[in-house]
This record gives sequence, structure tokens and C-alpha cells, in this order.
Amino acid sequence: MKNQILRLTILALIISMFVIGCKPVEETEEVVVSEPEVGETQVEQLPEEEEASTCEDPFRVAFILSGAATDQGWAMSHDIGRQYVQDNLECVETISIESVKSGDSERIFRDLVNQGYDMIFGCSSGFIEAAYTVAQEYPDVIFEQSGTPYELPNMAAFFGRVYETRFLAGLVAGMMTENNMIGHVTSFPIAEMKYNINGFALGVKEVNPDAKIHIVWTNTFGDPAIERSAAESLIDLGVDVISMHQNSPTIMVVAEESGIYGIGYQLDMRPHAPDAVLTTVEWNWGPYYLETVQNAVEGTWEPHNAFLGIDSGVIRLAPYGDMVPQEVRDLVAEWQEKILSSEFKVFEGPIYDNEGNLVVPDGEYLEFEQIQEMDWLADNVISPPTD
Amino acid sequence: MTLSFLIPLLDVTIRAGTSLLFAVLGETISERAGVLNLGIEGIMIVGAFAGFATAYESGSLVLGLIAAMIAGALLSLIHAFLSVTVGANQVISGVALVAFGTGLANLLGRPYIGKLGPKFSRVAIPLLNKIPVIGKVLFDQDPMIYMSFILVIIIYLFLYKTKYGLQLRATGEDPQSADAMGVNVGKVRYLAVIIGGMLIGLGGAHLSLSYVAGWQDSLTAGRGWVAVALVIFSSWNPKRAFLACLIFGGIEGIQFRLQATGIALPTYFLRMLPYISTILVMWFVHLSSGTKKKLGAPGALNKFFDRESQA
Repeated sequence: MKNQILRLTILALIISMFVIGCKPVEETEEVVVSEPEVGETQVEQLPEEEEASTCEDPFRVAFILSGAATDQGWAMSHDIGRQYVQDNLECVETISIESVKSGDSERIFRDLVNQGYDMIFGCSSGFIEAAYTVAQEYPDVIFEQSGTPYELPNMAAFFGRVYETRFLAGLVAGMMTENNMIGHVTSFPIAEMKYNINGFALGVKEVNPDAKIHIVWTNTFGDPAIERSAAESLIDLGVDVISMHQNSPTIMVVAEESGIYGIGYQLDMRPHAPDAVLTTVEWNWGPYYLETVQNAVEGTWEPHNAFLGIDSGVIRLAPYGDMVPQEVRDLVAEWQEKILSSEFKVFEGPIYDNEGNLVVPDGEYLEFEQIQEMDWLADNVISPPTD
Repeated sequence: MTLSFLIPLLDVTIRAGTSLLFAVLGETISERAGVLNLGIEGIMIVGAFAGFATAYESGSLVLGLIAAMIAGALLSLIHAFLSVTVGANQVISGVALVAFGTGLANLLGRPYIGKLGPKFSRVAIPLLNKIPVIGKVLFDQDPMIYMSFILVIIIYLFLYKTKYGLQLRATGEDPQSADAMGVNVGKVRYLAVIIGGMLIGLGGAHLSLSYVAGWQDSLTAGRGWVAVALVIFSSWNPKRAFLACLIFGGIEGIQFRLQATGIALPTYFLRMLPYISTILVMWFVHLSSGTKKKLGAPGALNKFFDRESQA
């Protein structure tokens, strides 16, 4: 008898360990992330006093994040956007659900619908299928999903034309390299990574036709130790500027240790490596989130496919490090003007790939669908075969 | 292959394998005493977090290491209680520990992500570091790496050359006989699991205080499971554990070095290697002898010892 009670206690203990371990963090309403001022992405967390809401029935918006809202990367960029909405709209209540895995996301979408949320943002392409499934069942709830568009009256897609900002970063890298060897650590060999690489490579080529971009593929977004190993392999090869398409600041830290320059991604990475980071290809979701939530509140929201460029402010170059000379800044500003005025498109021909094929003929440029299916690498990119 | 390629490769081989080595050594001690602790992934990540958070707050790396060991010991204590005292299913308890540890570390770690804290830097050992190739690779590393080298030797000597080591192995091989010899089986197993947990915690701390140097969500990224496989791959032997960790540290290092020169390696296949090779080792041993003795598995591994039911 005594033994049985003991066994039951143990069983309860084991089960409770599973429960504690598997519970996603949801209580982020208590966490305030400082507003993304220019050059300020250091996070400060303050316990927030729940403001006495002046409205009876707030418009409720949920953001589903793939990582911790403090991850200094992708997930945090969305949480900063959420905070921007919270700060700039009256009578709106926002929440971030953190560290949601793709396989668990459908349950989270359903939970949020059942809790009465009016609008749900899926902030990772891993949630697309789940969002589509749940959106079909709940036509009264608005879904905004990062990544590929689906045609539904209550679902929109959003992403950024990152390659425009990558092009600008490529100009910086091309002018700052001294030995014409530039490294780039990327993740999976899919179209998104390839148009990022190519945007960057074309920028480099514009100012420095002799420089080469050396690529390593990690096939992961969540393993800082792998990021270090990948970055070191490029640095040992001899690159003197390293760029990245990963989630943590590890690669910039390695660059700083090695005394070379780095170009960050996601959020301004100067705080992590002040002597290395030239600039950062930075997400700034606030303006877009504010606009689309406002439309939803006012009832003017329409399904859309927002593939947002530097004109929207959603993807931008974060402030330069002190070591970047004025001439580089001026040149980048000139090109930025050309992109903004549509005088120049990043993927306009002639462009050759690194196998010698003409992939964009002279006088033509790539359309949205072609960019989404990009399967080549520009002719100044050195990469192992990716198929 | 030139020296300028080889030396950095060997160097990263050592550094990338060190967190695994601590974990494999810790698990070897635990399993040698007969307790299977599958919670490595959870213990490592809690060790990594506790180590970083403590070092960050106090500014002291030594305190960080102590915190990582204490955290590893506490988590393992849960496992020891469940498996040694109560006789609960060791597999389930271990897996529960992974879920618990990962959730706990990620939850508590939120404010620390991306913070710059203290970290171990390289300390060259005079004279020895002048030896060509080996000197740079083995004797110009961080203090935790030297600690891991010394631990391999100490644990080997302890297990095979001391009375207490013999008692520990006896406890894992045949607890009834060990008990008859006057060994306190429960006490030995508790100590083995807790000391093992301390080492596993240090493995996590090597990631957060030296190799990656910083705290990130899910920092260990599955290395604990690789360690589980490598314990079997190295047949519960500290010397072979050292070699096994070198091999898998080397794989992590070489794949990107080849890529950077334009040569592709199948990364997913490489990540399966620890498990595939473990399966192959087990299969070969099975073919050659048909008993698990020859492989070196402790006879009473994963078996509850209940002294009262012996009489």
C-alpha cells in the first residue's frame, strides 16, 4: 500500500516534469521590449503595469513566434513590431506566443481563435500550412502569415524583399574588403537563401568585380555552436568580411574575436560586436504591422500579398559601425535612391550564374514568381553544389 | 592537405568535441554504476544556462563552473532518487528530465539571450605549445579543455586502477555480488549519478562559457543525444570516449571547411553518423559474440537493485 502511494507520487513527479518542460511560454504581455529607435536594439525588460484600459472591447491581436521574444533575432524582430502596434494604437490588445514549433502551431492557432483573438500573425514560414487550415475554418478571424501567399478572403501573406537591403550590404562589403574574399554563412539551400546571397553578391560586384563570396550552408537556424564552426572555417580560409543568414549573433562575435568585419542580419548587431559590425540587414516590422492592424480595426482590411521592399521601411540597413567611411555611406545612399525611385532593380540583366549561364538577359528583370523560385547563384559566388 | 588547413581543423576538432567529452565521461560513470541516465540533453542545457547566468551576474568563471556542476548535480539527484531509491523506469525518468531541463533553461534564460558575459580564453602551456602541430592543437587551448584531458586520465585510472573504481564497476555489473562484498550499492549509484551529472553540466558550460560563449535558446541543440550514442560507441571506456569525441568534433569542423573550398558533404548524413555508427558497432559486436558482455555494457545497466528482495 505504502509502496503504491510512493509509486503514484513518482508518476506525478515525472508527469509534472514533462508538463513544465513542454509548456510554451505565453505570458509575454508582461514583457516590454524597447521601441526600435534607430540604432537602438539593446533590449530592456521592464515589468509592465497593466494599463487601465479605457476601452471596453479591445481589438485583440496575437503574434505566434518561432523563438523567444528575446532571441536577438527573427522572433524578437516581430515582438518589437508587436510592441510598436501596442504603443501606437488605442484600444488594441496584443500578445506574443513564444517558441512555438511548426508541429504544434495548428493547436496554438486554434487556441487563440477560441480565446477570441480577432487577428493572428504567424511569424514563421513554418506555420503556413497550420494557418491555412485554421483560417479556412474561421472566416471571421484575420490571419496574416509570413511567407508564401494563399488565396483566402481572410488570410494575407507578408515578407520582405530582403535582397534589396542585401544589395546595399553587398556594396558595403565590396568596398570594405581588402583581400577580395568575403564570406557568407547561410542556412538551407532554398530559394529564399539564394536570393539573399545573390542580392548581396550583385551589390559586391557593382563596386568590386574582383571580389568573391564564399558560402557555407549550415542546414540549421538554431545551433550557435554550428554557426561558430561555420564562421571559423570561412575565416581560416581567409575572408576579411563575413556576412550571415542565421539567427544568433554568434558569427559577429567570432568576427570580432578574429579582427575581421561582419555584416549582421535580423536586428542591429553592433551591441554584440561593436568593432566588427559594419552594418546589419535589419527587420523593422512595426510600420507594416501598424498599418495592417489599423486597417483591420477600421474594417478596411483586404487580403493581400505584401512583399515589402526598402521603400516600406520593413527591411533596412541598420546604422553603420564607426569604421565605415563617409564615401561608402554616400555611395550606399545613392544606390538606395536608385532602388527607391525604381530606376534600378536588383535582379536586372544581364546576370550570369556561377556555371556560366545567362540567367537574366540584358534589358529584363525578374518578377516576384521568378525570385521565389530562384535556383542559381551569381557568378562571383563560390559555393559547393547545392542540389 | 597543408598545415594551414590541418592545424585549424584539428584545433576546432578538439574545441567542438569538448562539450561532448564532458558529457560522455559523466554518462560513462553513471552507466558503469548501472544507472542509465538519458537526461543528458536536459542536464547539459541547464548546466549551460546556470554556468552562463552565474558567470554573467558574478563576473566569475569559476563560480560559473561551480554553478553548472551544482545544477547538473541537482537534476541528476532527481534521476538518482527515481531510479535508485524508487526503482522507477530509468528511461522514462531520463526522458522526462530532458523535457524538464530544456523547458526550464529556455524559460529562465530568456533575459540572458545574446548578452556578452565572461568567457574562457586560450592559455598556452609554455614549452609544450612549441611542439610542431600538436603544440598548437593540444597545448594552446582554454582551461576547460585541459580539464577534460585530465579528467579522461583520472576517470580511467579511477575506474580501472582503484578499489573504489572496482566497487563502482561491480555495482554496475552485478549489484548482488557487490552487495555481498559489502559495497553499499545504493550509495555508490547515487554518487555515480550525481558526479556524472556534474560532468554533464560542465559539458553544457563549455558551450556557454567557451565555445559559443553566450546563452542562446536551445543552445545544446541535441548534443546530449549524440553523447548518449557516443557512450555506447566508446563501449563505456573513457579512453575510447576521448577518441569518439575527437571523431565527432572533427566531423563538425571538417564539413564547413570543405564547403568553404567548394566541396559538398551531405550534412544530414553527417548528423546521422553518431547514431548510425553506434548501431553498427552494436550489430558487429552482436554478430561476433552474441553477448553484450563483449561490447562492455555493464551487466546490470538499467536494472533496479532492491536489497530487501534479495534475501
